[in-house]
Amino acid sequence: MWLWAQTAASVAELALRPVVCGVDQSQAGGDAARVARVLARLVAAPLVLVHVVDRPDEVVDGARLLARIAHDAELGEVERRVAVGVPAEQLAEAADAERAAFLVVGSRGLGPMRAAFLGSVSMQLVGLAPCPVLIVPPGAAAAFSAAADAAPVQTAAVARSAGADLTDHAARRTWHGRAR
Amino acid sequence: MSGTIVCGVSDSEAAATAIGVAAELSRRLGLRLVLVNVADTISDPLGEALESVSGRNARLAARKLLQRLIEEHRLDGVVARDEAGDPALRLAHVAAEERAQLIVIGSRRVGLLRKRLRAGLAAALSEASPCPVVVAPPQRVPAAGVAAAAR
Repeated sequence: MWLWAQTAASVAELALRPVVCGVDQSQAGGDAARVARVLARLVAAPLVLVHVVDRPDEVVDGARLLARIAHDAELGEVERRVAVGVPAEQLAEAADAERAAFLVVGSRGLGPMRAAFLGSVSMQLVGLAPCPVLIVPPGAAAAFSAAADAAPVQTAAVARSAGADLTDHAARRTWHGRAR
Repeated sequence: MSGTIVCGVSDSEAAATAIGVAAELSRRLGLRLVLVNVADTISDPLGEALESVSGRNARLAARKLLQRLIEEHRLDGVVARDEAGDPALRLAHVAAEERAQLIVIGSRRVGLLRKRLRAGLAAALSEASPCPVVVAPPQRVPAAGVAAAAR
């Protein structure tokens, strides 16, 4: 019964799960923001932009960076958050707290061996994030954005209907063992 | 949005989560779904399988696996492609051929070292893929009581 109660509550809420996008000052961060903008538009979901800094005294600079990325990627009045700590852990926590449908991050092109064993943020997230992680490889943002630009935006009603299924699907599968 | 999602699957629990996410995205974004299994065989530097008896057998097994997954998940209208060679390079190649907008793969819950090894496919794809890569999270194994209550 517990699981059904959880599922029913999730479907009843029908709050479209946001797309959370982790960004930094690199080109990969900008690419991730552009793909996240398109994805959020296509599924009529809110977008949350997150930047992680090492220390509390870097929060102001982090907020400025988010404002610049939001401007450059033409995100409009998007929700922006600065977190303090280890990037992969903080992004996974943000996705969990937001009950994100997707977590979008860029890939800096460390090379597969370095990425897998030394741990790029995107690869660490594969083991940490409670939701699907969308990784944007170097140079891959344009293809996705161009194909999607011509696509119609889902109306709120259609999105809610589709969102019910995705929410239901997610609730049944309960991503990565985290009870909702 | 017209286009294609390439979903890479293997004979593991990760296939179910990958298919779940890929099918949902396909429906929501109006993208055609291509299911791909790459038999991991000896390959050349470009990732293409070298001709061998074991390679042919592996490819036959890949074909059967795809048929089984399509039936199990009731995936109507899905295109199935069996490939052989280096998994990451072949998936990237299929994505390029299909002009895919997304690649979807799954992941499994494993220990730290194995997790990093398994992240190898995602890591390799994050270099080689011509399009964004979605890694579906592992499926939680619910407690027995909860699972029974949910049925």
